[in-house]
Amino acid sequence: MLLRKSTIIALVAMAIGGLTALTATDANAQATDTENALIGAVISNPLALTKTGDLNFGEIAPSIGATFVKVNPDGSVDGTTDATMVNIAAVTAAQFDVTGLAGATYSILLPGVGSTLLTGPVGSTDMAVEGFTATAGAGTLDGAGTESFGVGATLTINADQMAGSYSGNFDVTVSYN
Amino acid sequence: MFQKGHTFAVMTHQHRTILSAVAGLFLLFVPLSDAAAQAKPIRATLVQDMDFGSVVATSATGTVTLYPDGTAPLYSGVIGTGGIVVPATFEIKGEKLQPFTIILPAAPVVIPGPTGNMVIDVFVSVPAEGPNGTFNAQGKATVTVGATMSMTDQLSAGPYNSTFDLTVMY
Repeated sequence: MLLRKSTIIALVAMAIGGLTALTATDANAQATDTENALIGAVISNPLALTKTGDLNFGEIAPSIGATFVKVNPDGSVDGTTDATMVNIAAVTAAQFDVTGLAGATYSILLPGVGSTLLTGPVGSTDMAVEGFTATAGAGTLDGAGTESFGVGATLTINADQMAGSYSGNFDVTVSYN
Repeated sequence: MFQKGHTFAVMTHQHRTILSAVAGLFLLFVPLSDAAAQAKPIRATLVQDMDFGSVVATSATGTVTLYPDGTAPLYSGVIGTGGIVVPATFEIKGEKLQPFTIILPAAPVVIPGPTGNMVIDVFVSVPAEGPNGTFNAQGKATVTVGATMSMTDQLSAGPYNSTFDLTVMY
């Protein structure tokens, strides 16, 4: 069969076009793609606790029987106290400042029963401090991310407690919740 | 006019035409590769970055997990304190109704800070990693990527940023 010249040219042109598309790099660029994404996180200021005052039970008169002094979180001597207070002015509740995220709530962990003892002069008996309490309603940071609270407790004076100066320490822990 | 002593292979116009046409036909029969047969390139486009928001540790160590299926983030030993908390989202375009493979980061992303590292790990996606993607009738698909962020209460405050790659392929 006789083919015309114009048809022959068209056949050759199509074949060349097909060969060009077969290079390896062209095939890979069409078959895979990688896209990058950001990962973001922000760590806010953690909770910080600072002590600004110690717990002080003041001066107590010795007695034959056991007595106790209960100090409230606001620093007052509770009315149930049966010990004779010699120097009430020296009584202070412990004081703490908390800083962190504005408006966040947190819990206050106080020492448990039997965990805190005051030790005194040689030969004296230790005195137990128990019943720790924090300022009622504490646990929410204000708009500036701060709050202050007091801590009181009950000191038990043993019968015939030796006179002298007694001291000890205790921990308070705050945690976001 | 032919000269004496020369031999000419005289081809008629008709013969020359047929030989050229045969050559053209041979070229046409070279087979095409599979890649050239797929009309549309595969393309991934980022829609939403991965974001763990603002966090604070409530324990010595903690994690925040972002789920790719829309489940709410899981906090353990950490509380969220604001900001957008979302997995990453990508739009994939390609040949309609064709399957494609999803490849996630193979190694954890470590974000160093002044007092310790934050680690992003356990990348998971919907559809799941592997040959599990399928384009719809419009040639589109969505891939969502979640992960787990691990931190300690020793990490200093501030931003922790990095990146990760999603790869898709036919």
